[in-house]
Amino acid sequence: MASSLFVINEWLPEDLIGANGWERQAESFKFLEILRDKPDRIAVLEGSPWMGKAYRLMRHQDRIIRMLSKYLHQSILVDSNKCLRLNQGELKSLPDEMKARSPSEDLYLVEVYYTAGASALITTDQKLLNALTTTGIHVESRDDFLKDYLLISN
Amino acid sequence: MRLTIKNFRSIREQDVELAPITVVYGPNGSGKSSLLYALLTLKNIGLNPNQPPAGFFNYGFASLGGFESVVFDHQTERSVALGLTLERDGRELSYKVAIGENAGDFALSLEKSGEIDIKLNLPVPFPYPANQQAQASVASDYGSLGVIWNGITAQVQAEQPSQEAQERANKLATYLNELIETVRKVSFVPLKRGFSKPQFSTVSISPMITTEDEIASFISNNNKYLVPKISLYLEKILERDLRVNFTPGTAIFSLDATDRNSGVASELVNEGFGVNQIVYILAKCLHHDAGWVCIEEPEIHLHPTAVRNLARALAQIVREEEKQFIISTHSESFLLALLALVDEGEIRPAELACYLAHKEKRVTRFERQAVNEKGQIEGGLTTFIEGELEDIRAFMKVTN
Repeated sequence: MASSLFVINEWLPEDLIGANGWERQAESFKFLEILRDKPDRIAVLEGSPWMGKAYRLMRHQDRIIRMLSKYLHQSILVDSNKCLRLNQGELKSLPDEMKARSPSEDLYLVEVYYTAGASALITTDQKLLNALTTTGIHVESRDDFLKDYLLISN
Repeated sequence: MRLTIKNFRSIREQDVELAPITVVYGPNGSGKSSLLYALLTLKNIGLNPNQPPAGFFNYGFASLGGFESVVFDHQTERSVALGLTLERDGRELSYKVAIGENAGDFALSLEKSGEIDIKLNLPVPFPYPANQQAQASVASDYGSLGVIWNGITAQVQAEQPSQEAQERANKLATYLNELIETVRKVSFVPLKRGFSKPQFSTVSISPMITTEDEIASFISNNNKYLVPKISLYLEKILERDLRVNFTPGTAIFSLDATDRNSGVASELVNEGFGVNQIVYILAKCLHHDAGWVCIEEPEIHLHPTAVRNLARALAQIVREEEKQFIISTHSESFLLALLALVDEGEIRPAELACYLAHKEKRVTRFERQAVNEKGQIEGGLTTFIEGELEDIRAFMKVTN
């Protein structure tokens, strides 16, 4: 079975913490479950805002959020089959045009995508989506991506 | 080093590569303890083969019962086979013991680049008073070397005596006896541990050194060198130090811990069980004669922060005291702390062997989960949160 490598922007920890409502929280949990069952992986950058949000998730007091964070940590982030962990020193320099088009706050996501040779960058950020559409980066909105990804498993 | 286990309890046949820190985890009843007991059984045989097989499965703190209770599927026509293999410098040294209901086989082999240098096999009855011999002759640059082996210990003599030939013979003997010496240095920290008395008097110490009186005596006998080391690690784990206080004019002593923050001292028995048992664990780990230390669930009665400190302390003991650990655990905190040490570069990935134990149709399997240099583990640690996952699924169903 072909495997995919995704770069997910910060919607995943935000969804899991419940910031976007229970429906999105449940969808994101389901995404993790399907990711676990399929040979797919995500790529993350150590010390990034994404990891900061994941860490805050782990410090949450709510029982369900704590369980979701444990699942994210122990079943995805700690698993070398499920998560490619990159550090700053491993990031490749982006081609000039790609760099110029990337919003500065999301530059690290594009660098992770480019370095990891990812299949897709999944975002909720319309500005990022618009900026990257013509750069050769396969960028998809969270909702479009999950519509297909969650459907495939059913 | 590789541990081979065959027909032992729920283990049908498994090879387990051991690392300086080997951790086995999995559900209750999955066979984790059997891995540790296998090494202890080998030790029992190495220390005293002159007993019925049931004696090999009696560890002092626990007895697994007779041969029929221990052999896989209780099929007494099978043999329980346990062995160790050491690969080094292109050589493979292997020591194996097969235990039947009343008899067994010892086997010792040395291979180099696929060619057999020595292969000795000794069928024996049990109890076996180590009075039989298998012999072999090995060519060396200084003439033939004669190997005599009684199933436990090998002796090597130069057939054409010269200083060089005898040195070669001594070197070969040391090498051939390396695995049995390793087995003899196996130490075990059982679940039943800790101190329940406020005072002790010195008792004689058995090779298995298991009872609290033996551990307390061992600590007091080694007050000068061992107690500071125990204190060093106890302070790292639980911010306590250890002191042995003798009652003047008597052989009675107490083991006391002092809280480094408050300065308050109390007998170990009056400390929480967490502190109490850690002293027991550290005494066994730091015993000068311990090489491989098997620890059953070191995390019990400890706060997760102390569990993390314990994992770090054990890793330090591996580095500084040259001990090796085989640990069964139900604690993801313990395992995550070890993985964090790999990520920090304190432990190399090859120094940490992680095994998920599980049963397939009553048969135990140890599945190795490779660790990478970033402290990630192949397959993740979902096993520790299976139950909670069910709760999350239930919760999501409710909200849907």
